[in-house]
Amino acid sequence: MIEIVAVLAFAVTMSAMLTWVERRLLGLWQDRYGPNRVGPFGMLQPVADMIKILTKEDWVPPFADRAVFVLAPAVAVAASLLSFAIVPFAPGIGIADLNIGVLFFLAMSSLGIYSVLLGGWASNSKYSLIGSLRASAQMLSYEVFMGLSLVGVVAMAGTFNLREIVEAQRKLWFVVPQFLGFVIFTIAGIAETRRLPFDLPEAEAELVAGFHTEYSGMKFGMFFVGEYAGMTLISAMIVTLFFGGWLGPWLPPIAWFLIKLFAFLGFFILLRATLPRLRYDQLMAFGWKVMLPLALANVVVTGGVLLAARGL
Amino acid sequence: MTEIINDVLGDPVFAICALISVMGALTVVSRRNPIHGALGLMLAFLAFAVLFIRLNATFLAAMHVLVYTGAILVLFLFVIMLLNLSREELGREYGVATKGAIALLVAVMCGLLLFAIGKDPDLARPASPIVDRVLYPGSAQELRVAEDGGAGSKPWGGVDHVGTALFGRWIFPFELVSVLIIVAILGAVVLAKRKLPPES
Repeated sequence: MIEIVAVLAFAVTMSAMLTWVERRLLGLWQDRYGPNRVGPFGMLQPVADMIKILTKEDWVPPFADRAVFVLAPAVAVAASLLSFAIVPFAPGIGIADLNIGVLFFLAMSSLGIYSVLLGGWASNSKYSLIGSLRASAQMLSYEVFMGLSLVGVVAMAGTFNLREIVEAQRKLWFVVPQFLGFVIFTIAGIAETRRLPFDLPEAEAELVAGFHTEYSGMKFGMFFVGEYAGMTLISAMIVTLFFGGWLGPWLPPIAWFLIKLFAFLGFFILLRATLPRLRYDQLMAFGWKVMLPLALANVVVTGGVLLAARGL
Repeated sequence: MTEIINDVLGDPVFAICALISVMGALTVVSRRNPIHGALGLMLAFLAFAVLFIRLNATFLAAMHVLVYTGAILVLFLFVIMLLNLSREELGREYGVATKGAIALLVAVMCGLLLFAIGKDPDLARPASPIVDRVLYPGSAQELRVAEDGGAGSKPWGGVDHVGTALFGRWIFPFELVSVLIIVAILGAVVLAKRKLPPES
């Protein structure tokens, strides 16, 4: 019970603090300050934002489908927070130890599409609808390679259990033999969380704010929490599946996990600071014509090597 | 019959999920708005996934959420949104006579189902031997022993059991199905492309 509360608190606090970290780092990389007024180094900015977002008028447009409109942001938060149940933070720390951990993660991330799809449709506005159609097509496509890119890891570890996958990396992190899988999973993960350079569903220059154009107040805030929790989750999964999770010398396991986690969060933010947005047809062509064949080739080669190693 | 009712009441998770799935299914057929119907289907699917877990079929549960809820139903929603039908385009409601006839038919079919279950209660019980008989015709006996908690045995219905069954005993039907699916995909592509104007 305490663990569940702790992990929930961790996920939500991380999402709040990430907004500040992201803006500060973007400021650093773009040669400006970022938020630095509220508290030391502006660290209390998320608190100020939270007060603002909670006291704002929570408006449902009269032309919206009310029930679905309210449901969508709840799905966004629930889907990403549920996945945290299977994240193995360190030996003994973590909520559930499922035999189908990897599949559970994939299933929950596939449910995340509903928030975008329903939010965009229920808003009953053209920008929202276009944004949500883009988002769902993008997430459906990239989910395919996300699953395929993990087949190599699962085959090498011989299990879907995340803790056993971490233990299987004692000698060598899977990022070395499964480098291709790592690259594909990372790209698919960025597309799945709809972050730059794959943030077409909310491309502000053409779609106002995409699927959440009509949202305000805490409902908008919940989409935000969902996005940042999703980003934390993808980083945690990269660390677990490819970078040995909590494994590392000297420091306690949980410290290693967090160090690796923050390294990838920083990498995600660096990507946002560096890369321009893709065009929609480029995004789709890249997915189906480059990523899918590469992921399939990775499955075939890994399978072949494993069979050869077993001397068949 | 009473045995089955006791089984259901003695298993609250099953009772709740069954109730949710029936409510979801009723939503699917009773809503005029297709999106609300699809949402009801999603609810039913999620309840099914929990029922699969109750049956020890964890792999099936994960796949059910991943494939049906996460992909196929999303495509349903996708198509409904693209069509974006108005109230008139959805067609008029059926008259009382038609509705009554359909209700009667459904009631008769439900009655038949209940009658069949009453004849062979094994059909309705979680982790029923029927599943063993279908999936593992030869080894049902030893599997049931493993299920009873033999030391170190993995629960059946996990990834390894499904994999061994699919790619071992049932490899030929499995490959047949994949050929069938490829033919269906190619057919869909050919049909979709046929409307293109001839190249000039």
